[in-house]
Parts: sequence; structure tokens; C-alpha cells
Amino acid sequence: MIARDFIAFTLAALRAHRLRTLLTSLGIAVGIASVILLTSIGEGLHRFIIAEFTQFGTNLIGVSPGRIQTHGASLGAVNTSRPLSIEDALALKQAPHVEVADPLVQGNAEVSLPGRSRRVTLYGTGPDFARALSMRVAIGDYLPPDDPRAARAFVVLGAKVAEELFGADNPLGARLRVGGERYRVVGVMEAKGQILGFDMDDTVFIPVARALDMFNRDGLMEIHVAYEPTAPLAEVEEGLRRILVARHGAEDFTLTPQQKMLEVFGTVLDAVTFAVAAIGGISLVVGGVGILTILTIGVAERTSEIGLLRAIGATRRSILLLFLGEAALLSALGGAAGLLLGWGIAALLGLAFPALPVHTPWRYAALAELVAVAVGLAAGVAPARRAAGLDPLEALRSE
Amino acid sequence: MIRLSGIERVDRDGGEEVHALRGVDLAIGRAEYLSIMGPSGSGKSTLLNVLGLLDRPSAGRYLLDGRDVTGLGDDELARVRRETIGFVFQFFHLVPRLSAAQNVELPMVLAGIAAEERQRRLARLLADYGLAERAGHRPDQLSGGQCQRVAIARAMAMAPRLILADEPTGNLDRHTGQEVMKVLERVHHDGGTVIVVTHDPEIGARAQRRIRMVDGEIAEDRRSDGG
Repeated sequence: MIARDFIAFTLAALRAHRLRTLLTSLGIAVGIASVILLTSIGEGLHRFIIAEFTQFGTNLIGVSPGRIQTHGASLGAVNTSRPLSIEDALALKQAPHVEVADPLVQGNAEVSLPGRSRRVTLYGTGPDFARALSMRVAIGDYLPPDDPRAARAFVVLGAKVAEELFGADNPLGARLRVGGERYRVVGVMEAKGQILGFDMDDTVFIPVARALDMFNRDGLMEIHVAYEPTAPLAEVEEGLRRILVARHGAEDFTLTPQQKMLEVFGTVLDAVTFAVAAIGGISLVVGGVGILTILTIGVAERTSEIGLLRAIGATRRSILLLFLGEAALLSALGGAAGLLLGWGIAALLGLAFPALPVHTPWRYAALAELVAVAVGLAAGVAPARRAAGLDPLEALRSE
Repeated sequence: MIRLSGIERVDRDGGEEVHALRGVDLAIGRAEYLSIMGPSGSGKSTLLNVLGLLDRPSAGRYLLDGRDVTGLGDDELARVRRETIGFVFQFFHLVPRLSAAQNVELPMVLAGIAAEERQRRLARLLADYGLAERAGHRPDQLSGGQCQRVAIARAMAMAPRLILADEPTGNLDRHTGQEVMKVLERVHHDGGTVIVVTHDPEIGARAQRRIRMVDGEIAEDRRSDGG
């Protein structure tokens, strides 16, 4: 049989039962639509989270005190870890490929003007913090490059703090109290919005040494290290490790490269996307059962026709292919409709809820269509084999 | 053209062996017109099905055009049926969703004949069997006689040398049945071998050679000239 005739014959068989064809394809369509919809949301979420993280840049390494990832270490070993100091941060700046090593302490503090006050998140940082995290200053400057051990009492305000305390007034040069001490405003950051639940605008930034004093801490919470984007990560890590081990006498700190975190996130989010796709896949299987049912009925109804086709020269193989073709065509039609449906709903969701990240990757769409056809073929195998196995004479007699 | 020797057909019916054919020997020449008659259960339909390669004999040899077809595989049998044999059934066996023309075209489609060649042959077949005006009608829009003409045209689509008709008039009134027989006889006049199974003596008598089956054996084999 010529391919074109094959398709025409199959189409005619499907057209003969329009309603049946429609309903059966609908089962597959719903399955594919749900796969597309769920993976669209999964993929959107994936992109959203990755974007949240990469806005700080990807060539970052966090250095934190204590060995978090030590395997099999006794608790005693953790207790002996030395705090990270501002001097450590200064030393790390000398490591190969390192552009910025900025110390960090974080806490809460009250910021007050006469008659107004506000409790905000406080970051004690070095002068390079904004650069390390790719954050921009809207007016004025970030903290000046003073000696970090004896920095002047300057403060940089987050966008929200500036607005709440000063309204439309220019806060540059204004004096305010942070945790009871007097500071002068040297800059205001650009609005950054919420990042994973943290309001980055309801913050103030002061020199790290002053923050350590304010909170009575003897060690940093973290040192942000930014390195040359082209530098090999392993080499950068090795340089940092060598310097800190030399200073501390042991590896009592943890390096957390942003890249590795992204990889972990990527793996987790891929698993999430896969899981939701699998949930959608269940409805696809149900659609497959629909095809199996309809085709089984079809073979029973058309037994006499199968007998005729065999009598006038169709081989078992042709019969098998004809019914498999019907199954594949049914599911391909349903799959295509499901693609449109799923994509349409995803697009509508995206319009209706701009906050909900939705993204339909075309490779998933293509994959879903392939899966639909595969499901159809799998569902068609049993009925098609039954049709092909019919004895032509007995099939002819069934009327 | 056809040579059957010692054809047996044994069916098992609930543990009991039923001899549908008992040692049938039969030679049929090219362009013969032959009728097979006999009471129900005499084996006439089984004989036709064996001749049409739809049923396999339990024993014996079947030479078709000098070729032994008894041992052929399933697909090979389908191919021989397609190329050599045309079937006409009592219940027409038209595909209900296809038009008259598409039904006639079906064997050529299955044989993989190119569309242009098919159209050329189809136009002739439709004209030859007086179906040109009904080409687009589906079987449920045709009369019984027209359906059987479509079936005969379909049987002739691959220009087979052998036409097997199983009770071709069994589902038609007398007048229409005779018309259908005239169509079949024209096939014979054009050089085809036509074998008709019937229980209607009037139909059976039209053939030049008449075989009577009783209990799975050929009881009578008569020839007349002319007709």
C-alpha cells in the first residue's frame, strides 16, 4: 500500500465515526494539555528561581565560618572553628582571580530621625558589597573605601527606608541614628524588590566593623568573594582555601560557590518539573486506555471488513499497520489539540496572573506530541494484533 | 488451470471429526464456467474456500496455474489471492463508509498501484459494470443489484484469471439475480474462469459444467456444450 493511500484509508475510518474519534482524541488532548500546563508552570518556576539567584551574578563564592559539609566530623571539631574576621576578608582579596572579598554581618536595627523611626534589616559590609552582588546605587555612593577596621560612620539606605524616612526629600548628607549611634547618609540604593522573601529595599548598609560592635559579635557571618568570570572555579576555590587554612591552621570554614548552588537548584527543579509532568502523564495513560477501548470495539465491529480486506489480498502486516495507524492518528490529533489547549491555558494563566511564572518550552511540546503518538501506538498494539490475527474466512462469516 | 488431487478437509466439531471434503479430485481448465451445487453441509462452500485459498485442505494437493499452493505461507497466499482470484460474496461485503468507486478501487489500493493507473482502470471498470453514475454513492445508497455489481467490479479490479462467487444471487430477488448472473457470464465470455456456488438449480443450470456435491464428495460432474 502506498503511504498516501494508507493515510487516506485511515482517515476515512476515523471520519466514519466522527463523534467517537472526537471523544477518544479528547482523552489524549486532556492528557497532553495537562502535561504541557504543568511543565509550563514547572519550567516557569525553574526560570523564576534561577533568575532570582543569578541577579547577584554567578561568579560568587560565599565563605562562611564552620564546616557545614564535613562528613563524619565530630561535634568537637565544629566547636574549635575560629570566627571569620575582617582581616580574613582582606587576606582573601589577595587570592588569585579574586576581584572582590567583602565581609558581611547581618542583623536588625532601629533607624531613627527625630520624630521618626523604623526597624530595618541592617547589613554591615565592606566597600565592595554592592559591586560583589551586582547591586546599583541610585544616588550618592556606596560606602567609601575606608580602612574596614576603622571606617567612618556612614550609612547607605535601601530604597524603601529612604522613602519612608525622607519621602521626596534628598537624604544625602542627612544625619540619622542607627542602633543609637549617629550616621551620615552617603547614598541610596536602587529599588531591588523582594528576593526569595527578603525585602532588599527595607535595609540599611553600614561599615562592617561598626556592625560587629553594634551586635557585639567577634566574627563575620560571611565573606562574599567575586572572581573573574573566566577564571576556573576550582582554582579560585583552591586559592581561597590555601589562604584561610594558612591563617586558621585548619579548614574550619565552608566555601559555597553560587554555581554549585545553581546546579543543585537546577537538579531539584528539574525533578519537580519531571514530577509534575509525570502527574500529567497519568491522564495521558487514561487517554491511552480510551484509545485501547475504542480500537477494540472498532476491531470487533469491523471483523467482516477485515475478512474482506484479507480475502482481496491484504496481508496480516497491512491489517496490523492499518489499525496501528488509526491509533497513532487518533493520538496525534488529540496530542495536537492538547498542545494548543495546554499552551492556550498556560498563556491565559500568564496573562491573568503575571506573578505566576509560566513558560512553555518547545522541546517539551515536541516531546509531548511524541509521547502522545507513542501512547496511541502502545494502546493500539493489542487491538491491531487481534485484527491481524483474525482468520480471514471466519472474519468474513461474522456478520 | 486448477488441479485438485485428494483434497481432504477435516473439521473438529466438539471432539467429533467432520469430513467436509473427502478426497476431492478436480481439474478445471482455463475460461471454464462451472457451478457447484449440493445440499447444505455437502462441502460446496468449503470446496470454494479451498479453491479461493481462504481455507487450507487437511490433505491433498492444489496446483494453481501449475504451482503447488498447498504449502504457501499466509502472506504469500494473500498475494496470490490479490493477483489471481476475484471474490463475489452473497452479502456483497462492501466497506460501508467507502463510495462505490472507492470499493472498486480497494484491491488496487491494497496492491499498491499508483493513483493515476488506478484512476484509469477505475474509469473503465465503472463504465463496464454500469456504475459510472453511482460512483460517488455509498453502499447504503445502492440497491442490492447495484451492490453486487460493485462487488463484481471490485473482484475484476486486478483482472484476475479466476472468479469465485459464493451464492452471488442468494441475497437478491430473482430478476436482479439473473441480471447479476449475466454480468458474471460476461466476465466468462471475456476469458475468465468463473466458479459459482449456489443452491438455486435455475442459477446452477446456466453453467456449462455443473458439479454436484454430496457428503464432501463430487457426486456428479456434467458438461453441456454452449450456454
